[in-house]
Amino acid sequence: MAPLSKFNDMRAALQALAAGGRNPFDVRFEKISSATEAVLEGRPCLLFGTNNYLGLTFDESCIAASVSSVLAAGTGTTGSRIANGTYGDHVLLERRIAEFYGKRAAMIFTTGYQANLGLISTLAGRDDHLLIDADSHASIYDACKLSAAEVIRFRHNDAEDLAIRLRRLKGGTGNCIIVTEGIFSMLGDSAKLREIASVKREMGATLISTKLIRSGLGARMGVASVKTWGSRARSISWWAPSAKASERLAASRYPIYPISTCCASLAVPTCSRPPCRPPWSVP
Amino acid sequence: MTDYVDSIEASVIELLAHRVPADTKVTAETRIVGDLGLDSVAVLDFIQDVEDRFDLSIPLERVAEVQTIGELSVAIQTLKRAAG
Repeated sequence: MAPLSKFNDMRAALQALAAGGRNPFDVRFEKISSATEAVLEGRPCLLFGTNNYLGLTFDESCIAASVSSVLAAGTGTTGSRIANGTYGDHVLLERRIAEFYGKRAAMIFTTGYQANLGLISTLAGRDDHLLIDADSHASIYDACKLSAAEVIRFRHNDAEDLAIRLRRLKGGTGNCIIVTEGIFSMLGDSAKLREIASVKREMGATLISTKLIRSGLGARMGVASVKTWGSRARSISWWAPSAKASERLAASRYPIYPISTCCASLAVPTCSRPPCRPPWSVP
Repeated sequence: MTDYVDSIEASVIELLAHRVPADTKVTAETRIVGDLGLDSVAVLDFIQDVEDRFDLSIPLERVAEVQTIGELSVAIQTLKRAAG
C-alpha cells in the first residue's frame, strides 16, 4: 500500500464537506481587519475561533513594540538558543513571567504545543506514570507518545477517577505525574484544580496544569499580564517554586529539545515589551 | 487458565453490547477498531468501561498494541496477574 493511500478516507470526507458548499478546514481570508474581524469571499465577518482572548494582535502599542524589535533584531532568531544563543528579550520575558507568577524562574517555548511536548516528554521518564485527562489537547497526547513513561487516562475532570487510578499504582516504582489543562482547549470547561490538587497531595504525585490557550486570562492575571508583557507570547509553560527547583529548572532546559537544540527560539518581536500600557488596561 | 480468559472475553463482549448495533456478531477475532464501526473516542470510552469492570488501568501504549477482542482479553489477564 502506498504511503499516501492511508489518507483516502480523509480525502473522501473532505470532498463530502466541500460538496456541501463549504469546507470549514479551508477558510481563506482576503484580509484580517482587526482582532475580531476579517473579510471572507468579499464579505466582512466576525472571528470567533482565534484564541485571541485579549485582542492584542492589533493593539497599537504591541504593534509598535513588534516593529521596533524587528528593526533592532531582525525578523527571526533563525535557530535554537543552545546553538545560536539567547537574546536579551528572551531573558527579560522569562524574568517577567516568573515575577508575574511570583516564582524564581520560568522557561519560554516557541509555541504552547512545543511547551507541552518538551516539558511532559522530558519530565516523565522510564518507570514513571503519566496520568492524563481523557479530553486532553493533542499536544499532551503527542507528548505522551514521545515519553518513555506509562500513560494512563482518567475520566475527564474527574478527581475521584484519578484517585482510583493512582491507588492502583501505589507501591509501584517511579513518579506519578498528573497532567490536566487549566481551561480545556477541546471543551472550554475549567479544570477542577482544587479537587485534583487535593488528590495529588494525598497520593504524593506531581501535577502539571497546562495553560495552552489562556495565558493572560482571569481577573487578576489579565491586568498584570497586560502591564508586563502584553500576553502575546503564547508559550509559557512552567516555573520553579523554590531555589533548588530553580536550579533544576535551569538544568532541565538542556534535554528539552523544543527549547534547546532542535527548535528555533521565540521570535524577538513576540517577546518584546510594549513601550506603553495598552489603553484599556486597568491600573 | 483458558477458562479464565474465556470468562474475561465474555465480559468484554457483554460490555460492547450497548456500543454496537444489536445484530453485531462479536468474537475473539473481532478487530476492535476495524470491525465494529467505533471511532477513536468510542474505542477509548469502551476501554474505560473495561477498566472499571476489571478494576485495572490499561496503559495507552498497551491499548495501541491490542487489535482484537481476544488480544484485549489476554492483556486484561496479564495486567490482573501483574497486579496480584
